[in-house]
Amino acid sequence: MRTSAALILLSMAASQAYASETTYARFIDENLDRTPTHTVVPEYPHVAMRDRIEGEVQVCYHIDRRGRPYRVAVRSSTHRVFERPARRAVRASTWEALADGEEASNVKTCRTFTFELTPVLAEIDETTDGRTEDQER
Amino acid sequence: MSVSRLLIAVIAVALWGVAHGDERQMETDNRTVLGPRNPPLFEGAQELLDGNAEEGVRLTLLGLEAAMGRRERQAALSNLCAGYLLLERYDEAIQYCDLAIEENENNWRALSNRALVYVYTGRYDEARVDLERGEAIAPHARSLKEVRGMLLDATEPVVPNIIIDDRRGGDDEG
Repeated sequence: MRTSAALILLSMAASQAYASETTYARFIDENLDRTPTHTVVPEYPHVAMRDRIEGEVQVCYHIDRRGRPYRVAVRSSTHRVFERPARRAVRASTWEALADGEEASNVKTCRTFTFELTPVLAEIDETTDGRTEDQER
Repeated sequence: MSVSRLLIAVIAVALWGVAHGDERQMETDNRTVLGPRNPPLFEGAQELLDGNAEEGVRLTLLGLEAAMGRRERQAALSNLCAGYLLLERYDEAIQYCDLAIEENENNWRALSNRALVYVYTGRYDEARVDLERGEAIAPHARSLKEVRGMLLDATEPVVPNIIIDDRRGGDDEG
């Protein structure tokens, strides 16, 4: 039950998130307290990309009855350059509103953003017309 | 023009600093400065900053002719290097950067501009050498960092990847 719910949440989050065309995002979501309806992916900061900086930020927040985050704050981060985009992403995200009669848990939730840079594989040499060495022989 | 705004931004810092250097120095003493000492050089830099490379180069060549002193001459040479880069006339760009660096081997702006030309022309090893020299002179210069980033993008490209993990809750925080 928990696994299937997590998978549903994962697919929902992935379908409703947006990011710049060049950013790849992956979601891991097993927090069943509130269901995300719109997960915003932060932009990779230009300076961090330029200087090849990777890092992690944990942002903690409460979620109100309408599914909006409040008291958004950075709990930990490996580099300050990632803090603002992470905070902004949480502030712009939403969760399912509570139904009548449901009570908000008043528990702080945390979301961890890991900013990674993945090497791009070298392009095939144009002089070989896209063929590999084996094909050439 | 096929040159991106990013390229203009990268060379802009070098041009701005050079163009205003004399003014800043004069502000620290008791002289009253009514305007730049070499108007074509100053206006040429402004044109280059606006992306008007042809007009920028024309004015900067006039500024080079009217240059008084080593500093103005170096600024003109460095700006011409940037201007010809904007015009994608790479051989001329390198020629002017070479002259600027010959006159002052610590001219990190010219080194930055020449490294940028080398990146654009695929001469990555030479770009690396110029960047190392420039970084040793001005380790915090933004334009050098931008060119270094462009070199890395060309030689070791990466794609950003962001993982959003909601598993680690903050229950203990309350």
